[in-house]
Amino acid sequence: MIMDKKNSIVLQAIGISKSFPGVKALDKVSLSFMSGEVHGVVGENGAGKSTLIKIFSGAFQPDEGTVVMDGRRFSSLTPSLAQSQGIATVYQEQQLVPWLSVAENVFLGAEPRTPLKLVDHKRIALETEKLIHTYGLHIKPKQIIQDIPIAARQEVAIIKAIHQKAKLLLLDEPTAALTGSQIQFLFDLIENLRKKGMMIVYISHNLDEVLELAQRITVLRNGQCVGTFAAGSIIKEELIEKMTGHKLSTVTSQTKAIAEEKILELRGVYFQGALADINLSVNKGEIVGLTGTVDSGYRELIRLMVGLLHPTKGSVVLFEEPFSPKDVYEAIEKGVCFIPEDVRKLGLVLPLSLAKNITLANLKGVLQHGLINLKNERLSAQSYVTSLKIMTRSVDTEVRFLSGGTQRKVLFAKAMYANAKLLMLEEPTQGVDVEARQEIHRLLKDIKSLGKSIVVASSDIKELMEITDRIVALRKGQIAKEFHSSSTNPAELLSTILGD
Amino acid sequence: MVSLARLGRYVLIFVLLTIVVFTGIANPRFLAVRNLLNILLQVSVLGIVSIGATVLLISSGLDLSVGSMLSVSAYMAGLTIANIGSTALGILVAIGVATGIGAVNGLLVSTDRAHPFIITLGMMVFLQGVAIVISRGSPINRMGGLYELLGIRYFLGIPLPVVVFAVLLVVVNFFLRNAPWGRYAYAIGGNEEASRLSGIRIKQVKIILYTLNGFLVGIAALVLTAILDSALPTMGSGYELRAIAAAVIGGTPLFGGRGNVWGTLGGVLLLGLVSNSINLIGVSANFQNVVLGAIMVAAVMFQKSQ
Repeated sequence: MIMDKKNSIVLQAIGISKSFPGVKALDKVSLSFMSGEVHGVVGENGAGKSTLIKIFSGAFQPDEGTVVMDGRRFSSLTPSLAQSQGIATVYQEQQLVPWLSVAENVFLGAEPRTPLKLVDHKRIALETEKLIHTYGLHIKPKQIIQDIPIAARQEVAIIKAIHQKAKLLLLDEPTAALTGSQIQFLFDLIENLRKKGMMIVYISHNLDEVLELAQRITVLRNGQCVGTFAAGSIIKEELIEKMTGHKLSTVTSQTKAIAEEKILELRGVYFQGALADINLSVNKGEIVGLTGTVDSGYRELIRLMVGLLHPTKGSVVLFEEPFSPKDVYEAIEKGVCFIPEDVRKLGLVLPLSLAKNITLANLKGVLQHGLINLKNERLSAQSYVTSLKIMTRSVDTEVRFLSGGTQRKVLFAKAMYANAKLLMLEEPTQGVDVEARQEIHRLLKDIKSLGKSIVVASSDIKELMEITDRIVALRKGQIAKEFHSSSTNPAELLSTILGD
Repeated sequence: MVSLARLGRYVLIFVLLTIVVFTGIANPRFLAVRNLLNILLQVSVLGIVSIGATVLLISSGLDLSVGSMLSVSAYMAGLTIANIGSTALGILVAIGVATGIGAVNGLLVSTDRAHPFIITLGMMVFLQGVAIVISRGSPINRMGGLYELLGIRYFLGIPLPVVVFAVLLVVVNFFLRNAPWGRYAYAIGGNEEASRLSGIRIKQVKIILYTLNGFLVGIAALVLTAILDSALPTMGSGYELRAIAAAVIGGTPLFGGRGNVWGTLGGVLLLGLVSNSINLIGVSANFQNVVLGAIMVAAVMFQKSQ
């Protein structure tokens, strides 16, 4: 399929720079990708990984520099030009048409025709079937995209790229939405493609994955290329040092919750078919973890605890009063704040400034005679920017310009500004780099030491063990077991979740 | 660093100045203070309606019924003045009717059962019908006190409708920046779901915004009735689209989250200046809509390309 001989340079970037208002996202970055290699690109949030991918895919035009593809020089690419050069991108949120079938998506824009110039559905289905078979995928050509799981959609995106004769596959955080076995399957698929001569650029915040998959790894820091390393010659700790520019310190101190004062209690809670007979409580100054597989009901559970969902049976008690808010306003009034996983879609108002996002859930705090005091608002926001070390040029910067980790911190600031007594977090470090993750963990401990309670719903067991006091593991809508975080281990936790 | 949005505003100002200079050279009468005031007078009604359109667009809403809302409330005021003879009561009726219709629009939109486009399109057709039914197609002439109050009066040499428009611009701008509902309009337009999860009572805010829009239409109805010294059942037709066009030309995107009334002022002036220039240069009035339409598309395309 792909005839390039091994180790020839497929794609090269020379001196690429790209600026956005207030940030230099890429600063004279040069690197080269070879055929038949998986090339990892790592860096903290805001290091420029996504910008780099978008320049290769043609979504962004560089301010300066050259892209060389198969010996042809381009001062900038457009999406169609990139595609015609054999560059295919698989984003976290894929560009598939949800109501078309797998086969129709694979052939979209390149449908074979019958002699009457109509779309040849038979051939589309047949050839898709062949592709699916070749790569051992578990989907059927006729399935509609919106009916298949996210992992399978990603596979569709990849075979679509193969079908379009891509020479270079750009994968941006491909495992973000996948679970263990799905990840292994993806890795096998990538290895398979690599052996056939495909060049794969693999962007991830998960260094273990990158070290496992990649032959070479390029580290970006603050928009600059720190260097490219052979995967065999570098270990994780060194990578982290190169990404952050200083040595890694781990947060280990575990302060015990002293007072056992119940803040929130669930008594015999049922929710539709998803949850049954849930009894659990959250104490003052305690971090409680909720975990389980995707279908275990832990995501419904946290939404019940913040009052977004209401139990079909049983009761939720907050500060010894029944808690059944009719809207989010009431929940926030009572001191319960929810920070959802999808920061950009559900958390932030992207066109508004950082200051305006921070005060949004508690505008009362900056009102004077019923009107917003813009000066006080900016001052309050500034104090959070300082205390939470939010990386921004100014509190007036629109949040859409901030990096993923920084955006999350803005939401923490927002919850604290809203005087939250109980913080409910969903996947708090999803898509966040190593250092921001550490900082968020540190931040959670600080918030806890202020006497606030935190509930963390996460699929990341290691994270929960690091930061929580207790972990509630769910299985099939019921509490399988409760653990003290200090006296359990990942293996025990995982086997409880999976039910082995 | 100059942001693109701001650059867009400069381009708008540049286009406005170009029109002024060229028309001024072609016909010096254009630059006479009287003509310039005349232009402002001509755009004041559109301007007031456009302020409301801007507020709604910022929250990613819109109201297509403002034109027929204007007709109905103006005609009801006309009926009141003609039959009872009280200007004050007429003013109350116009503002009351329009504000009430605005509130109904807000209530319907806030149920989230259909897109505001469809809801207010239905309201537009409904009110057109109402206007024809109550008027039986005939106008009411002689607005007496209202005409004397708003139609011919000047304040410091400026026609009163222009003063009303200016005051509303300043007041609404202030509230958009400093009132909680102003902030919430931007937040809802920028990300409705995130706003809901931030504890903003979306329904309440939407009802407030559509009611405010109705109130502004009521004032526009009074101003137009006073200027024309009569009330007609179709006097408001076409305002809905021109108001949205003025707001969009002025930099408020259709999907909300951004924008302000000063941009809209630019959009309103552009539309007014173009009409006036075409008249003064001596191009047939039949060409007016051809040119206006082209300019609207060009201006919006430019905004879009940012």
